[in-house]
Formats: sequence, C-alpha cells, structure tokens
Amino acid sequence: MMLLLIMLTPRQAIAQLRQKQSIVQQRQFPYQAEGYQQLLQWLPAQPVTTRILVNLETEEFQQEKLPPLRRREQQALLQHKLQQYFPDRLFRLGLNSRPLQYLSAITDHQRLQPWIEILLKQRFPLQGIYSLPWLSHAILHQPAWPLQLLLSWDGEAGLRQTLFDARQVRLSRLTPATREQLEPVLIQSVHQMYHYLINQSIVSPRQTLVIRLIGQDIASLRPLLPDHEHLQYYTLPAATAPGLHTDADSPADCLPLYFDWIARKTPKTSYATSQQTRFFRWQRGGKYLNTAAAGILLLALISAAALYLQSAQLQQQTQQHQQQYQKLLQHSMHLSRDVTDPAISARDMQQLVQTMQQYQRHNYAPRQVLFPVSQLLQRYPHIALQQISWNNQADPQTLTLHAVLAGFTGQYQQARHYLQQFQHSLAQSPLQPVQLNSPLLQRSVQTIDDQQQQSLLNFNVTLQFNRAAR
Amino acid sequence: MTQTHTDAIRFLKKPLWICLLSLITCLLLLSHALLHWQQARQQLHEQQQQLTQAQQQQQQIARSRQIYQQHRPQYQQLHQQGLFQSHPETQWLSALIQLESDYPDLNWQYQLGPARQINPEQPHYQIYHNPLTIELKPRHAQQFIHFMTDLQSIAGWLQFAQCRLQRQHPGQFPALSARCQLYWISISLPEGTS
Repeated sequence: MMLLLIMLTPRQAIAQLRQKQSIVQQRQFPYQAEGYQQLLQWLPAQPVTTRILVNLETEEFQQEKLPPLRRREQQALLQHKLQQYFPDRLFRLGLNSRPLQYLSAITDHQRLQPWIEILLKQRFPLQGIYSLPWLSHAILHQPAWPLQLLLSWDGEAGLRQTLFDARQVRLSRLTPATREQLEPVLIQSVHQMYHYLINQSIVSPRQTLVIRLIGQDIASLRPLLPDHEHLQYYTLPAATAPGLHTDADSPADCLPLYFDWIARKTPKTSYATSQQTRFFRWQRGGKYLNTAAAGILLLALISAAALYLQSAQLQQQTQQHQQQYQKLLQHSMHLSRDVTDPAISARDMQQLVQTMQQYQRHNYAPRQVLFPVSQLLQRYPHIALQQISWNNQADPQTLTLHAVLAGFTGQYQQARHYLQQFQHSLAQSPLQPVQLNSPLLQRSVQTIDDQQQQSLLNFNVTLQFNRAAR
Repeated sequence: MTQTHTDAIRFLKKPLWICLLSLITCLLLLSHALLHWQQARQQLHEQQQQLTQAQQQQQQIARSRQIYQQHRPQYQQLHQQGLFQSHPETQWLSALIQLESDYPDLNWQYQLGPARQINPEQPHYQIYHNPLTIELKPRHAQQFIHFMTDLQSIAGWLQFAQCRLQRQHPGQFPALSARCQLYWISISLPEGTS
C-alpha cells in the first residue's frame, strides 16, 4: 500500500512516498508558489493515504490541572481551554491525562494551509496532521520518569528539545542549527533549558532530570554537555531507538527516524479537522465495505461449500437407497414370482382354506360315524341298534343311539351289568358319552313289575364326537 | 447535491458497487446452494419413502409367500375337488341322475334347494350353500355307506348337517330307512380368475 508522508520543517516541506515501509521517492518543496506547484506535479496520479508531520518552531504548549469531572465534562472543559488559550488558531489539539490537561496549537497556520489545500483539491485521503513532539513520546518505552528531556537533531529543522511529564509533552522547543552550529547551540540550549525549568519551578534543584539524546551526531557531543549530579544522560542512537526499526546505516541525524515514526505510528492526537480527513474516512469506509464484502463473500462461499458438500452426501445416500431399492425390487419380484396367483390373494386363500378346514371339522360323513359305532357294537352282540342319528350343526356335535338289550328276559341283573360294561367301553372309545338313559340304571330291579319288563331293556345314549381323535 | 456528497459518492461508489455485487453473488450462490441442498434432501426423502414402501411390500410379499406355501396345497386340493365350479347345479343334477341309475333298488329321493350366499361381507370370493335333502331305504348299513361315499365323490364339497338311520319294523323291507340333510358348497371367485 502506498503511503505519502509530508514533514513540514521551518525551511521547507519534505515529501516521501513509501510502499510497504520502503522509500520509493523523496523530495523537498519550498514554502513558495513554485514549491506548491512542484508538489502538485509530483503527487502520484492515484490519491494515496497521506500523513503530515509538523516539525515547526511555531508550536505552543500549555498544561492545566484537570479537576475530577466526568468524561463528557472533561471534554467540554478541554474545548473550553483550547478556545481560551488558542482562540484564533486553526490547528490546535488537547489531551486529558490525569491529573493534567495537555494543550497545543500551531501558531502560523499559513505554513500548513497551502499543502493541505493541494492535497484536498487532489482528493488525497489525509489521515492526520501530527505533531513531532506529540509523536516522539512513542520512543519512551522506559518506566515513566516524572520528567524527561528528549534531545534530537536533524539537518533540516535543527535541535528539538521536548520535555515529557509522565510521557506527555510538557513543552517543546525547536532551535534552528546546522551541523556546524550544533555544538554551541546544543550546549547553550541545554543550559538555558535547565535554568528555565528551575526558574519556572518545573524542576526542583534537587530533582533528577533524565536527558535522552537521540542520533549519533548529538550523542557524540555528550562529553561537552554539563555534568551535574541531578542530570542523567542516556544516548539512544537512531538505529537502536527502542520500538523503532530503522536501517543500520541510517544517517546520523534524526530526519529518517522521524519519517519512520510517522510511517509506523499513527498517534491518536492530530491537528487535522474532520473536514480535512473526510477523504481518508471515506477511503477507510470503502475499505471496511470491501472487507465486509469479502467477509460476506467468504462466508457465503463457506456456507455454499458446506451446503454443496451436504448435498453431495445426501445424493450419495439417495444413490445408496436407490441401489437398495433396486435390490429390494428384484428380490420382491423373485419372491413374488412363484406366489402370484391372479385368482386369489394370499390372505383370501388363507381365509378360504381355514374356512374349509372349519367345515371339515364339522363334517362327519356316515362312514366316519358308523364304522366306530359298528366296531364297538361288534363286541356287544346283545345290543340291537334301533336308530342312530347325528347332528353336525349342533355345538358340540352329538351322536345319539337308540338301542335295546336282547336276550336278557328276566335276567335284569345281568342286563344291567352288560349295560355297565358297554358304558365303560364307551368311555374308552373315541366317542365320548355324554348321557346314557336306561331304566335299568335308574331303578332297583326288585321293584320292577312284569308290565315294565320290555321297556326296561330299551336305552339311549348320547355321544359327543371327539375331535382330537379324528 | 453538495461537493462533499459528490466526493463521498466518488470514494464510496466502487466499494459500494463491490459490496452490492458481492451481496448479489452471495445471494445467488447461497440460493443455488440452498436449492440444490433442498432438492437433494427432497430426493433423499422421496427415496427413503420409496425404500420404506418397498421394504413393507417385500415383507408383505414374504408373508404372502409364507401363506401361499402353507395353504397352497390345501387350496389346490379344493380346486381338484371341484369346489370352484361356476354354475355347478347342472353338473350336480347330472351326477345325481347318474347315481340314481347306479342304485336303482334304493328307492331314494332328493331335493336340491337354491344357492344361498353365506359370506356376503367377503368381497373377493363368495361361498354358496345349496341345501340337499336325501331320503332312502337301504338294505343294510354297508349299502348306505357306499351310497353316501359315492355321493361325496361328486365334484364339489358335500357338507353333512344331520343324518338319521333307523331300523324298520320287523318284517318290513328294506330293513333300514335313512334321512340326511346336507349342503352342497361351491365357491365363486371373481370373473375370469377361476
């Protein structure tokens, strides 16, 4: 992704075009109409995200105590303070960081306006206008000292002294100085700053002030700086500044470092107004939309893939079922081949056969009745059968015999004995006796008169067909 | 429309189009996938139903096969007995006339009644009863049995309801008299299937 970085120094604007953190092009433009025209011509045809870093001497800083208020009220107070301190400044910003409010503004907006107008006219998405002092706290990764003084120098702007109070910018000064002027300017500036801090009671005489020196050029001048028990110096070469990853052969001054900072970090505090950053917001909105579209598309693809996969599984199951169905069909055809009867269904056949079996059970033909009876009577020749009748419709089916005992005239005792034997034989035959009616078995023989003699020898017996014996 | 709006549209036009196209693509894709899935599910459902029906049908066929195997011999025997004749009365009467000539001295009488359906609730086949009353005077029981056996051998099913065989008074000839009530059973299957 292309990135346009513009650093405004007191003498000129330096523009750097980067792609994936690598410098593609860099050029300086003077604060003149000619410079603006050059920038206009130099800008890439396709608008790219732009960040402006302000490294000007015309930047003011203020602090205020922050009373315990709610967030909204704090914000209102901040706006009020900004209006109070910088009423006619176009570029101003503030930060609530308990227990203080930090405020700053750029006093000469004429230096920024032309560049911003060019960028907005070309519809370049301006992400923000950042202050170098505000940005430089990014390198303060060490435990927060109450007060730290950061000294950095670059050949374009000069020496910058920034005082941090618990990582927030308390004040910052830019002193123009070339490489040749750096030594006296540095020594003098440190002296002046220290005395200023003492005089303003920002630092008490017994309080330790940490001074951090960034860049090889400035670090090499460390022996010339005043030694004091309450002054602690730390040198941070630009190439090894913590949290930053510049090339090992970076130049001695901090200019590349500043570009690196702004290329890698985007501070929350910016001088740009919402009107100035509208293109960036829209561009970001467009990116969000693209990302959302890609996300939705991806989600849809995954969902569709899952659905297609499941469909394939379902189709596979369907095919398996179809194969099973075909097998079943073939098997059924095979089974039904030798059982198909167009005349009658299996159930009807079963019912019909069972009905006819039922008929069969109630169908005693003369042969079936007369044979067992005649077999039985062969053993009893004195029994003369007079009538035999049977009823298949009765339930149970019954057989009735009417007979007479022959050859027992006057010998009733013997006749009764003979009848009892017959009765006993009946019990063992397939025909179950139900009832045997005989006067012989009911009366005493001695009481019989002669007139009843003949009827005494008559008897009838009712038998029941024994189905189990069939 | 202000310049701001124009600029906003210019910046957001392409992403919005992309978003819209993506949404349409998603909708089309998901609709197609969903339709495909629903069709596959529907096909599976239908196939499952078909399979279940086939399984039930096979079970039914297996049951029918078992029933056929179990009852077919008896059923065929009924067929052989001539139970499934259409309009059997004529054949019976011919057979009775033939029997009359076989037993000229039996002095027997018969009465064949009209057919009556006894299973009107059964739609697939009908069982008919023709009542038959026979009176005869056999010389002895053996002749009675022979006659009845020959009567039973006539095609069809002869069901004995009641029978009575009694000895005549001494001196009367023939010595026995008999009276039997029977039913001649026939079965009618649907037209064209017997």
